[in-house]
Amino acid sequence: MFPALAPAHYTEAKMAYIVQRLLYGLVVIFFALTLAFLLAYVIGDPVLMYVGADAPAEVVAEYRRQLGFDRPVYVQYLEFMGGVLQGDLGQSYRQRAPVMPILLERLGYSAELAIPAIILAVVVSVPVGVLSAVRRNSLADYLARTGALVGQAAPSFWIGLMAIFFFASHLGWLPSSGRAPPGSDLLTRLSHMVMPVVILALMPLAYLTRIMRSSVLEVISEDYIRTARAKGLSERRVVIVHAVRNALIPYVTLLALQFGWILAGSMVIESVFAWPGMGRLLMDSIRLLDIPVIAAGLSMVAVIFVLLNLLADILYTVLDPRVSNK
Amino acid sequence: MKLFNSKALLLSTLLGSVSAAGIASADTEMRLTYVMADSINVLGDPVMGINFSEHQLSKAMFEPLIFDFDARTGESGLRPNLATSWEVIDPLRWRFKLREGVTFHNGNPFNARAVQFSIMRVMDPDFQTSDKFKGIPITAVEIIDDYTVDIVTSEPVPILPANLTRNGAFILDPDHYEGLTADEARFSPMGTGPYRLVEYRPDDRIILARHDDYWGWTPESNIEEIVIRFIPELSTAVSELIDGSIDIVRISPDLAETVDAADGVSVIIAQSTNKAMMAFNQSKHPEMADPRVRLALNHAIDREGLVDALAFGQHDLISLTTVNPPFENPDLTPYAYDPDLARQMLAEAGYADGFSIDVIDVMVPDAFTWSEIVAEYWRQVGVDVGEVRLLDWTVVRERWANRTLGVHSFSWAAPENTPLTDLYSISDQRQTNSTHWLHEEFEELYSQLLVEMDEDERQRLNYRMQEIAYFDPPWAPLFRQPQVVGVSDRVGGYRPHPAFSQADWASIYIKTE
Repeated sequence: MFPALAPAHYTEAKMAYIVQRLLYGLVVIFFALTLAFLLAYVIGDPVLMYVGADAPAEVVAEYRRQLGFDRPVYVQYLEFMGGVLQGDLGQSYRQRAPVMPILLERLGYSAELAIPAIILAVVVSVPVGVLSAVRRNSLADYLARTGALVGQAAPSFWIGLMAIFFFASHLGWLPSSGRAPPGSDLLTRLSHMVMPVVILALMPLAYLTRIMRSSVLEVISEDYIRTARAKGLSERRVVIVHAVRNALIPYVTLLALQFGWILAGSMVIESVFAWPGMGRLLMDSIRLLDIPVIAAGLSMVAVIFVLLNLLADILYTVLDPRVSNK
Repeated sequence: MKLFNSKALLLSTLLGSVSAAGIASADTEMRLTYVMADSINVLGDPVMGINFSEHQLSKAMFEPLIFDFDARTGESGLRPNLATSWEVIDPLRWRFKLREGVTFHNGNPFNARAVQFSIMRVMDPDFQTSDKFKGIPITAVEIIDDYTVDIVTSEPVPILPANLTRNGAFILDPDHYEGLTADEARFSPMGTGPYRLVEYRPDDRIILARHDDYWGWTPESNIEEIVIRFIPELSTAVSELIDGSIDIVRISPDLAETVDAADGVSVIIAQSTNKAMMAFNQSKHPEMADPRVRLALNHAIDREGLVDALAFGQHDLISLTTVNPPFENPDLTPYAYDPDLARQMLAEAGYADGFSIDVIDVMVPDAFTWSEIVAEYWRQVGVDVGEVRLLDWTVVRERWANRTLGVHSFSWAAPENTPLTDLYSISDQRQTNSTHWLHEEFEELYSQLLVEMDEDERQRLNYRMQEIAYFDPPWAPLFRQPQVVGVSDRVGGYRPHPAFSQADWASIYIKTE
C-alpha cells in the first residue's frame, strides 16, 4: 500500500531519522550530566568525606577551597559543563588524577565481562528461543521456559555467591573472585572470567530467550509463513530465512537495551566477584562522593545507552525499511 | 549431551589445574595475600590517611620513632622503633636517640634530618591535615647530631612518646618528598618500612615487595611479596580464604565458627580497644540533660547478655567508661543490669511513664545489632524507642560535623591507648562533641591532664575524670569489640594491633615446615 520511495528520498528520510535520534541522545546526555552533578550535592558534603571525622573547621575550609566548593553551586556547575564541552571531565577527588583515563581503564575491565556476557546471551538465546517456539509445548520448550524463568527471577548476587561456594570453595575448579593478577597467562585470565561472565549473562539470556520464543511464535502464524510452506520450502528454510529474520526485529532492539542492563548489573556482579570495573568504580565513588567521577561515569553509561539505542534504531531501519519512512 | 559433558569436564579439569597451580605457586613464592575493607586513596602520605586500611597499609611502608605493639609476643606498650631511646630533658624538651644504619627504600639514609623534615612538615601552619598529630604544640625539631634530635614544644606534652606512634609522625625521606606536590606525595611512598610499593591498582590490588635492607627482620621473616586485595563482599572473601587464595581477612563474629571449621584456616579472636557504645545527644533530647535519665538508660542494659551474644562471652571486655584497660579506675565496676533501679531513676527524674526516643542513628554497620538489642532493653523500662536506622556514611559525616545526630551508636578506637586520648572523646574541647555533654570540673581536669608531667598526678586526674563520666554519663559504654580475623594456617607471626589501625607487618611469616 506504501508508495515506492525514490532511493534519494529513502536515504534522506533515513538520515533525518538518525539525526533526530542523535539529537534526542544529546538531550539525554545533557540531563544525565546535570542530574548526576546535582544529585551528588543533595547526598552530602563531599569535603567531609576526605578529611578525618574530627577535622577542625580550618582544615575543612582549606579542603573546600582546594576542591573548589567555596564557590556557588551554579558556578561550579557551569564550570563543570564548560569543561565537559571541551572534553575535560575534571579531576577525581579520590585519586587526584584526570577522570577520563580512570574511567576508560575501568570501562575496559567491565567490557572484559560485559562483551563475552552479551555474546554468550545471544549465542544461547537465539537457538534456544527458536527451538522452544518451533517445538512448542515439547520437553525442550518446558525446559527452556523454566530455565528462562529461573534465570530472570533469581537474584544475581545470590547466584554469584552460590557459584563461588560451589565451584571455588567446594570443587576448587575456579578462582573465587578478582581479576587475574597482572602478568597472568591467558588460561588464568579466562578462569577468573568464567563465573562473573556466565552469571552476568544469565538475566539477559533468560529475557532474550523469552523474547525470541514469543517473537518467533508470533511470526510463525503469519500468512507469509503459510505461503512459504505452501511453496514447498523445507521447514528449516521457512524457520531460518523467513521466520527468524522477521522475529529478530524486536529482538535486536531489546538486545541493545539488555547490553545497557548488563552494564548496570555489573555493579552488583563486580562487587560480588571483586572485579575492578566501572560498576565498582561508581559504587566506591558514590560512597565517597567523588562527584567528577560519579558525573562522568553516569554520563558515560548514558552515552553508551544512547549509542546502543541508536545502533538498534539503525539496525531497525536495515531490517525493516518502513521504520525510517514512518 | 555426551559431547557437552565431556567438554565441560575437560574445561573444568583444565581450569581446575590452572587454579591449583596458582595456589601452589603462591606457596612457593612466599607471597602473603591480605584483604582490606576500605578503599585506599592515600599511599604515600601517612598523615593524610583517614580510614583503617590506609593507616594499616602505611605501617607496612613507613615507620614511627616509637611503636606500641609487638605482634610476636602480643604485648602492648611503648617500645623503640626508629628511636632507640628517649628522655625528658625538661617539660618542654624531649631528646631522642635514633637508630643507625636504617635506609629508606631508595637507599637514602635515615637520620636526624629526616625526623626534622617529617615532623616539621606536618607542623607547618600551611600544611592542612585532620590528623590529631597536627594539634600537638611542637615548635621545633632540633638536630643535636646525625642520630640525636630534640623535640621542643610550647607547652608540656606528657604523652608525646605515645603521640609519636601515630601515622602523622611517620618518617619520610626528605630528598624524595621535597620535590613533590601534595597530590603527588599522596601516591608516592618513600619510607623505611619492611615493604615497598611495587604496584597500585585502585580497588583491585596493591603489591608490596620486601625491603631487603629493613633493620627489623627476624630469622623467621621470609615473605617476598604482600598482595593487598579489596573484596567488598565478605562472603566472597571468606570463600577465598577457605579455598586458599588469600591468607588474612577480618571477618564478622557470626562467621567465626564457619571459618574455624574449614580445613587449613584458623580464627584469631583478639582483644581490642575498639569501643562499642551508644551516645546521648542532650541537645536533641532535653530529658537527657538530667544525669539520672542517662544513668537509668545505662542500668537498663544487660551488658553480660550483650557480650554473651556478640563478643564470645568474654565478660572482661565490658567497658566501664571511655578509658581502656590498664588505665581504668579500679574503684568503679561496670553498670549493674537493674531494670527496677532504671525505672526508679526515671521516675525520680520525672519520667515515671518513660519518654520517647524517636530514632537511634546507627553510624557503622557493626553497631546495628547491638543498637537493636539496647533499644529493646530501653523499651523494657518504659522508654518508647522508635526506629533503629543505619545511616549512610555521607549522612553520618555531615551530622557528625554538625553535631545533629540523635541518640547514636558507633564503635571507635584511638590509634594510641592513653587515658588522655580516650577522655578527649567526651570532652567539649572536641569540636565534634556529638553529645553536647559539658561538665565544668571535667573540662578543668582535662586541661590539667593535657600538660601534667607527673605520673601520679596524672593517674589521680584520670581516675577522677572517669568517676565524673561514670556518674554523669555522656555515653552508654558497652564493650570492647573483639577483633575476629580469619588466618590461613600457613601464616605465622600475625596478631592484629589492638586499635586495628596499625599492624606489625614485619612479624608475619610463612611457615615452611
